Amino acid sequence: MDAGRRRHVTAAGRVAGRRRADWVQERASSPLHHEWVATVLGVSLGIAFALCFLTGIVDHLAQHPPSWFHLPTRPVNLYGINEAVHVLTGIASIPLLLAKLWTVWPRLFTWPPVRGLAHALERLSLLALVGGSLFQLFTGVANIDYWYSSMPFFFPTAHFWVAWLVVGGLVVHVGAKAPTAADALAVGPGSPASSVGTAAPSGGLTRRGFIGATFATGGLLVATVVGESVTPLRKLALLAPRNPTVGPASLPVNESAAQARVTAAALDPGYVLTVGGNCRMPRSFSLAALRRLPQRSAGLAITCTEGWIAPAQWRGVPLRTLLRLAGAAPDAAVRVESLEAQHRLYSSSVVDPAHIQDPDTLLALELNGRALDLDHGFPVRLIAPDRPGVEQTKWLARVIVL
Amino acid sequence: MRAARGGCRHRLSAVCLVGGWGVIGFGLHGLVADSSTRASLGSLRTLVLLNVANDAVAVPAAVALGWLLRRLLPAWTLAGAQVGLLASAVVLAYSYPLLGDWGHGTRAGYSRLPWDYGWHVGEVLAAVWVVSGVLMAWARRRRRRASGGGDHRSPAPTPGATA
Repeated sequence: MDAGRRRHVTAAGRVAGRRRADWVQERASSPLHHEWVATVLGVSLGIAFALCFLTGIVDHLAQHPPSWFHLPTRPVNLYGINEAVHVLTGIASIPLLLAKLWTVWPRLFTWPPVRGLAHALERLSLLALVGGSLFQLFTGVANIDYWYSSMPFFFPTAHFWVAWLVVGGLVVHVGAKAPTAADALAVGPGSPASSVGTAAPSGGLTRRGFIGATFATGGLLVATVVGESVTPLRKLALLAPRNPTVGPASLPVNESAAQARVTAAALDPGYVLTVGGNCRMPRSFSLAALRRLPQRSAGLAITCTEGWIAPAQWRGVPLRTLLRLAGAAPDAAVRVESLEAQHRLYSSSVVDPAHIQDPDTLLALELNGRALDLDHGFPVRLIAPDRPGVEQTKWLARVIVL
Repeated sequence: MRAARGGCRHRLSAVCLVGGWGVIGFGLHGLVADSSTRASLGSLRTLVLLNVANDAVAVPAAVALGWLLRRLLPAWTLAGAQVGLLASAVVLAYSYPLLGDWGHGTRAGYSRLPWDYGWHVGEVLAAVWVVSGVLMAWARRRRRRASGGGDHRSPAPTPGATA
């Protein structure tokens, strides 16, 4: 192909591309595809995602704690509030994100698609921002609804790392759009949104009405789920994956003894709990011996990373009492191991000194006034303030002083 | 003054571009390097698929539906219908896994997913459409008052107009 003909073909392609873009933008035109609407939704999403990100970081560190990270033990519901905020903010973000993506969709077809390197990088970062946001909300919902088969990856770490993609994309987006957004907020919704009421003169939603409907939908979703975190509202929890009062001893269970394959070992009359490792007097305690030790009661909630919070009354031996009997140093940390096979996920957990010294950290023998149910960790389980549910190790076999 | 503001905007944009891509690089590295992520390609594939599904299927479908509604429905029903459709779409998008019942697969404790979610989703959608109906009735009343009675279809749509 000679140079003249090539130039002609390229110019024709450019014209065709612009025509295609104009065609799409014309057909997708609506008073609601407006800068002010996009800005209000974008700012709201930015706040929601920032909350989700910060609470998600805390959640991730609590579940996979590096040596430098320790959650405080007080207030006892701090971790629960963090989880509830994380999950509920994520759920409230669903309508915000879908409405925002609908509002800005025609801009996908702006022509020319790229106006230089910086613009190309900004547009490419949208893949991280939009794809990452959809990924986070999709996997978050799939996780709380236990739809694991939809995720061909390990959810906690994939969710954690993709959150960084979203934040990175958000930073680029804020830099590119902050001036336009400031102008849009200064100008306001304009006509026809300035008309009072829900309907625009043409009959459809006004811009304010659209924003209001989006927020109301987020509120509706939160209202139908919040009951799994706030027990008094449990009757409202029509779409919650949990009812905090359904389960043995009126407490939910994530994994039963049968699923963990510990039934026989847990019911063995010869069961003993061993305390060993870096201590002066390693000991073994039968269930009867544990019951003879000084007991303490504590009102603590099981808080799951899925967002449900189930308060309960526990009774058992304070962990620090047991460690004192074994001659462990007061500043020692311990690893508690379950009767489960030790290669299984969350079959053990580390308890830091601050949690050990908290009087409410118990090796629980009773739940809600009854002997511990098998599915809740009989014969002995750990329960402590401000720890993720997966770290409240059940069916304890060993306490190893580190 | 305007030049100074333009320079400031340009600097902000440049700093955010570099910083944002740094954070994206950190996330990508973690996704690929973290051995516990397992199948990081699977998560990237899901991310891209969701992006494509949104841009090429979900939003165009919503735009087309809006275009159709504006042509078919009387004007006074539009706002109510839009509210109903928006809320219904979001409720269904959220509750899709609950309705599919996939959570009752392996390792599911019996206290998981304790409700009849089909029934509950139906109740929530019914509430949504009651609100939509109220909005429609309200819009109709306002329109009748304004015009002194009579029914009105949507104004003749401008080419390609949708909502």
